[in-house]
Amino acid sequence: MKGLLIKDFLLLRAYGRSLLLLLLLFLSIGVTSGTGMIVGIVMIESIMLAVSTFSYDDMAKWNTYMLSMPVSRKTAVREKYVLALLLGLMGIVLSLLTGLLAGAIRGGVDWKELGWAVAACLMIACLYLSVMLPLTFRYGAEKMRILLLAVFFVLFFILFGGYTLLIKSAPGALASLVRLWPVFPVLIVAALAVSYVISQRIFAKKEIL
Amino acid sequence: MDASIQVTNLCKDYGAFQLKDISFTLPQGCIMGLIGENGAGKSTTLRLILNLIHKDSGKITVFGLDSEKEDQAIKQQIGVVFDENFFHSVLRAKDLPAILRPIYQGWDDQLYHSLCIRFRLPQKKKLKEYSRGMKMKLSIAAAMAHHPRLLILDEATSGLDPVVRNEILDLFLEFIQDERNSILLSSHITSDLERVADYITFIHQGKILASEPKDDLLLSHRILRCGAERFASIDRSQIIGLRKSGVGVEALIKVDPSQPQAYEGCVLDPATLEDIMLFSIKGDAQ
Repeated sequence: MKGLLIKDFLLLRAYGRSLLLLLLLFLSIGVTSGTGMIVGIVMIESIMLAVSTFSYDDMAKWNTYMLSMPVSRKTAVREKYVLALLLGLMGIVLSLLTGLLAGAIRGGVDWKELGWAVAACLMIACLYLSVMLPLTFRYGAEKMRILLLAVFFVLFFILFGGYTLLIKSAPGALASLVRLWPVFPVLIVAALAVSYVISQRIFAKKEIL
Repeated sequence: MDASIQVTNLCKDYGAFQLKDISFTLPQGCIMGLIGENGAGKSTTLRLILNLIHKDSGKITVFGLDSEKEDQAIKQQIGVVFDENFFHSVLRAKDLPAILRPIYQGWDDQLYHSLCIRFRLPQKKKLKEYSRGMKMKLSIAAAMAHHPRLLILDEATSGLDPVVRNEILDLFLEFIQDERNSILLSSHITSDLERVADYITFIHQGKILASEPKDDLLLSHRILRCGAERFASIDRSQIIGLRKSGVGVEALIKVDPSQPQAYEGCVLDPATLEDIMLFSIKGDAQ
């Protein structure tokens, strides 16, 4: 697995300059429009990098080559999840840094807002990943390019719809939902675990052409 | 002599295309060429040996081990080169050891570097700036640097100029000097196989037409030329394929050494692998 991780980070490094430019752009957005937004973008962008390594792999027809080496299908799937988690960690650091930097430039950092924004975005990003990864293993990166937005909007409408429904039907419910926050990380971990098992099953059967 | 690869009654059904009852044995210390038209099933066979696709039935052993159960142990000992599958175009030759070293127990940095020097491969150029020949040479260097005992190559020499092809074929012949090593390669370029292969396996429409030592295959086939009248008296069962023209008939025949008089009045020429391929496939169509 180590070899595969090194391969993916070498790939990401090759695109490093454009990613750095993107980060600077986000920073300038953060300075002008507040930290919450920028934290979200940086976080989601970091985790999305894991999905983009699938496209690079497809372009090189990497799967054929990889599975001709002593790399099991199991390891191949595990590597992408580990990669996503490592990028998630990187995302936390980067989004905190940009958030802090933007806050400092604006004069004053709201620690509580920043912390909540990072936590919430991390969870949304993980949820997104747990849907995206099995689909990408199943359909390949090329088709996922089209499905990408669909997945995003479906998730967005479910979350946003649920949120508005909740506010309308039971005004007090939101406060109690917020009090339930320790449940969310557990749910996210469960979603990732289910997603991992599904990806393993999909990839074990896949015919590599 | 132990077998490097033994394939027995291998089947794979794609609906429109079927691979049927493929059996062949690649002995250690030998090079086997896999020939056949586009879509004959050469790549499918190689992919089945590597478990990239799943077989319907049959048995494959590599180094005497079951190819599915011992997948990982086998692949430690194999080097693979594909026509168009390779490392990502943004990587450089100097990046590959970092990736491959943790994957292969037998990875040898020095061997990799000496192969790169031998093939004059620039280390710092991105792979997308490599020519086709350089890419192929790099993938062969990467496939050989962990001291494999078996090389599997899919169309590794197609699309390359004669100079590069010769360089590569020379390396293969050196590799095979160690009699525990063997090579299975598919190729359209039958002249390459004529030069290096010990065995030829000929696949046509998902079935094996022949799998035997190259010399036997070449010696047992002849190109026969004669007039149409003379041709009429030739034993039909020996004719594999034929081509009629205004001046006479040209046919690929399987010679019967016990009856040299059967071909009196005809011209018999040695057949090349290309002749055998062309006449067999054309003859089949008639």
